[in-house]
Amino acid sequence: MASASSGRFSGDPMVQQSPLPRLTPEEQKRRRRRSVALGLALGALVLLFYVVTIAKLGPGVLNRPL
Amino acid sequence: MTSASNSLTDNRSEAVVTAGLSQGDVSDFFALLKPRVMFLVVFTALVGMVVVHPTIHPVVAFASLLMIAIGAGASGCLNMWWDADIDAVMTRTRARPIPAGKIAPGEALAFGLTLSAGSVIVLGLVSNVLAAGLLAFTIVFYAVIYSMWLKRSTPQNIVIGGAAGALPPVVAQAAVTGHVGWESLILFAIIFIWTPPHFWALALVKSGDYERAGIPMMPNVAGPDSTRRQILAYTVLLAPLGLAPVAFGFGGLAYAIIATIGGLGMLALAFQVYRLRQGEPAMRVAQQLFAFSILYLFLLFATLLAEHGLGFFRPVFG
Repeated sequence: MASASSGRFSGDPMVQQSPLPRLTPEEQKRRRRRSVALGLALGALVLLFYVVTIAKLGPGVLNRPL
Repeated sequence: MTSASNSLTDNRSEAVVTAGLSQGDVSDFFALLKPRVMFLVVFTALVGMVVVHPTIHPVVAFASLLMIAIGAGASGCLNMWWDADIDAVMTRTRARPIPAGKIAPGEALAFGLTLSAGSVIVLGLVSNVLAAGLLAFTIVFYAVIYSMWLKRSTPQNIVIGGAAGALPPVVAQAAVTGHVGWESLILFAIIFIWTPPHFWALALVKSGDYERAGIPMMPNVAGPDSTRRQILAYTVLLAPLGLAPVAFGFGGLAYAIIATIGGLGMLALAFQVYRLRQGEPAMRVAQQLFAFSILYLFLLFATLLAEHGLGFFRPVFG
């Protein structure tokens, strides 16, 4: 399991025979940029939900039975 | 040699895509959202919000605006997914991410559907169900009714489809007030009547492109002369309609002046388009009308934004 996920494009001789192409450096950069953008988008969504919750509920967000 | 290496590159790209690995960069995905259209949507939606002076929290208004923008981008993405075949044969659109081979059609479809569902759900949670429903209707209207049905079947495609582009102020007002008021309906009417002269001016210039792609735009079906008559007719309707916000009390003195001058400018150019029918001058004046129509709509909405958002409102009557 670990070798399949980590060795897919990492030069593992077993995997090199696979039909999956090796990513070029440019493709790896693009993939990294996509991952960073997705991470930022998810982070922004979390922040948006937090801020909207505070804005809609105000101090009432803390007003709940314990 | 070149064709052989191109073929190898194509095969490799195909293998990468088949393996489920995207070829697209972040900028390609952003381009799928039609950022210029998104800007227009954000702008008109913002005006739809400020003219009613909402009392809701600015953060909630901002979040609603963001979801309207994302919903508009999602519908643009679905439009590009569906129209990839005709985009590939038109000079204006052949560099878009799908025909350029940067993003696979399936990726664009998944991206568009995810953003559509996400924007509608979040708008519903952030504001209200009416606004979410209107946003969903706008997306479906643009992606399904306009792109999949009207665009390739009738020369009235952009007339009816224009409703999708005119809805953002209505969605925005619903988001901040919980109802649809006459202010946003007037803004809807202005954008709706503005759309035919705007797009048909472009279609006159790009009729060869549309002919190649097999899209039944008005100049290709009814002919350039009929299109010129209809451009003039719609502009005759548009110029007084542009003053409707003044009559209804939410367009002030600055707006009245801008709408009058802009409306006269639109009429003058539309009449020139009607009069000049041959050669380079005819194409030039159609291009001028297309460019001026963008400026006209921008100025109308920017003036309303300045009057209501920055406190420049001076009533015309009383």
